[in-house]
Amino acid sequence: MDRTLSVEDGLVLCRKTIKRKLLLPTNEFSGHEKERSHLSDLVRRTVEMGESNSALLIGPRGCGKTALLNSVINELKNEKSFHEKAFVVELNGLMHTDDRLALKDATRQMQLENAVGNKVFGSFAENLTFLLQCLKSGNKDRSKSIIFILDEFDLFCNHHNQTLLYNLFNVAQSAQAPICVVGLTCRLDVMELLEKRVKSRFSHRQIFIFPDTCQKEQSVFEVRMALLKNLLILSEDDVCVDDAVFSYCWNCHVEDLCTEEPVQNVMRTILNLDNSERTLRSFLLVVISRLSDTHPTLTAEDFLQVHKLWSRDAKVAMVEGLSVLELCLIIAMKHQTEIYEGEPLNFEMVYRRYCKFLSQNSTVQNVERPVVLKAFEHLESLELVVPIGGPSIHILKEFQLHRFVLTSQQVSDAVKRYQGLPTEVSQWAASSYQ
Amino acid sequence: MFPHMDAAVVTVIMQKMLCQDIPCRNYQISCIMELIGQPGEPLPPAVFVYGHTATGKTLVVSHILEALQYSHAVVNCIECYMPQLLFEPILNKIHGHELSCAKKYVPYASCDYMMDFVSCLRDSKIVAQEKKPCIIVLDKCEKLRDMDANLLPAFLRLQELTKLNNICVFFLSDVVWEKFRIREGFQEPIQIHFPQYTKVDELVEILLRDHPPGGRWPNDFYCSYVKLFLGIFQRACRDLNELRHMAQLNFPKYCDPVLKGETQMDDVNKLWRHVTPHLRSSLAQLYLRTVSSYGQEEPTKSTALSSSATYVLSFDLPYYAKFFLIASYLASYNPAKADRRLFVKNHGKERKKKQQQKKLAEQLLGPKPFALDRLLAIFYAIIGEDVNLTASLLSQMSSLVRLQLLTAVGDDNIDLPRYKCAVDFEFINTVARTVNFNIQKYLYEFM
Repeated sequence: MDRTLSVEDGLVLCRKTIKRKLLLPTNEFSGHEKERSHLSDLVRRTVEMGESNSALLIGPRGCGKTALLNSVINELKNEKSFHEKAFVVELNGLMHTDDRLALKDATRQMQLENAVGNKVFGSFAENLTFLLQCLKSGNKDRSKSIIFILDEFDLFCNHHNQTLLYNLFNVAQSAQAPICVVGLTCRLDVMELLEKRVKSRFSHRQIFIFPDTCQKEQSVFEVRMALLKNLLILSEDDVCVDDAVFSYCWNCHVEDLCTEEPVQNVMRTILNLDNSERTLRSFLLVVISRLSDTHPTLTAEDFLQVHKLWSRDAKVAMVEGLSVLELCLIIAMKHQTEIYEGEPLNFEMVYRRYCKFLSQNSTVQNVERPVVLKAFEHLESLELVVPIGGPSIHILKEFQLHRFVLTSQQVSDAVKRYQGLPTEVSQWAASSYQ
Repeated sequence: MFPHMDAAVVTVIMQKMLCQDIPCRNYQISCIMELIGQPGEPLPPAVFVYGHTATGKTLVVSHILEALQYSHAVVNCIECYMPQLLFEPILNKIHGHELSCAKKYVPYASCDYMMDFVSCLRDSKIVAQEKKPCIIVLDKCEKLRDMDANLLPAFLRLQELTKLNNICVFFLSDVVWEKFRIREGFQEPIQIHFPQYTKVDELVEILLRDHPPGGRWPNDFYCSYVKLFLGIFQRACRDLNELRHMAQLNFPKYCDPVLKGETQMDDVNKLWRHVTPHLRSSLAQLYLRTVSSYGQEEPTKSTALSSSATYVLSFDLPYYAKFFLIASYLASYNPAKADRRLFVKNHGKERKKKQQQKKLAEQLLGPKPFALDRLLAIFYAIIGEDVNLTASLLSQMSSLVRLQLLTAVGDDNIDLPRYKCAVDFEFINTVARTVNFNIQKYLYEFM
């Protein structure tokens, strides 16, 4: 059936394509040329020459460690001979919480479950050596290389005796079999976490990756705007959209949008708060999601609205939804904390302050003490007050000391935005001399 | 569902139907549906939905997923308090595997660790091979923080760990996201807030859905009741669960005069005068649930208020134990300095002191610990008869501690144990009345 794309279909495809671009970054990796070639060289030497290496990639969250490594690995995987020569074993500290699990999964990834079968090993090292032996192919002096990728490397340091790390580094150092151990972590002090015997076996090759802060000719903001444009524009490679007219219109529109003042302001605020690319991507995802038949173009208003939601203080939003009674308790706590300069408080103190307010304002409905206690407990379950030293059976709950975790600014914001609040309560919030 | 129609049209119709089913949540419904998008669109890795209890978080999310007919699993983290208990229901539900007697209640796959869970998902036919969108909903996800430390960050990165981009995890909670960052390493989810129903119209619209069936009571009649009810309850409570419960509980009382033939249905003023005292008295029992809504006789104010007294009497303490408890209360709440003045008959001249402020501040901090000998001294001062101090008398102390009416403080110093009283004034007052003891006379607070 040959039909031209209607606007709606084009829109759906366009939304899909851009979402795909935002959520599934391609393997093209830009920047960090030096680090990339260093890492690529290391891994390649293991694969091709059977050298053993170990390295740590260190950098803050969201700076592109995994992306860098993935681009290197994918480049190698595209080479024909790679699969004959090497295996990639990926371990993640979040998933492999102890060494036994890690080894089990490594066995699975090396497809050696059959070889291991029901064998019983005396020690961890024996098990690992067996696995590596298995990889020796018919040709005696040549074994398959293995690339071990340890994501969240710092979590592996918490494992009992650091057995896995010790054995991996030991194998790498004594060149028993060609392996390359690459760890990824965001902790700069990761070397301190390693035990002495593990540290001495590590090659001490640390590759630091920092987000590009000082570009020569462009400012950070310009780079960010270029990225924004790049993410939103439909390029010719994006096969989904074959309607040239539609994508041309869309691209023109995006170009215009990027020069608009409000959009630039929003982008600047986001950049100033958080410079990671991931934040930008998820922000744009929400913006793009708003596209629909009834709302076929992106406008600056979309950016503003999403940013407004994005930057809203969640605690204030929660306080706005409380009942008047609970809000009164919050105000009482605010005064109590201000007067006693941040000292912890308990229910009795708050209740007394609340009663004082009630006695001066007869118009506010009075409720029984157990109901007030329930309201206090509700605030505790919302974690707006946090018990000190955890709940204990030895203290009556009325006297359990709590810390109030809202600032007075947050309280007054919430009071201002609260709908239908009695005036005496809002006056009380403004001053404690009532 | 509608094979002859466009996907986009289906979505619009679906959204309209959902908005009809779930009132006042239009914006949230469209927000979530936009994020999920149409089949084939990639899903965001994690979405965090927060808002007060009873604002429709679970309802909206599960209704949307059911309408879309995506494979999904809604699990409650209070129910599934261990990783194993969490993983297995998720896998069962995603794969439509039902536990039954015939299958000997064998789960879809047994998972002990996150690793097993991830590899199960990777090998799964539905999720990995057919690439169907699959959504995991973790309700009350604040409880995840109490489980293994790796669980929450791993669920946030489930897409990355499984390398499947058709998986999405929804986190539902009434605690703000800030409280989840106990340790770093989190991938920030997209946040959606469910605001409280603040407008009266919204609440009326929702409460009207509980209109009792049967056609006995016309709509207008129930509507005027709901408005009246909200006028009294709205300030003290915004929890919809509680409001609905209370509205159900008090409606029969509103109807009472009509049933008895005393008033007409449209005489709102008279009905209002009749029901207001009832509503006010049940306001005093908000959240307390002293009486269940159906099948029991009407709660009266006196039964509710005396419930704490019946609680006290249910202990049925021995005579001397009662005096021990009273003495411990006095020891905990009176300063040791005041003992002489309170318990010695000829204590000399009273001097008025200006200690009002300090007195208050001390009272607010709760009971103070005291040593056993002070307790015994007060005990003998108040009991007014000669009792031999025997082992059986002292054993009363340990039974009071076991009942958690007293708590032992500090390390086990056998020679001089220290205790703290753990009951409130209302409790001790009731106890004192049973032995005809006027406790207020001996309290520093009332001096």
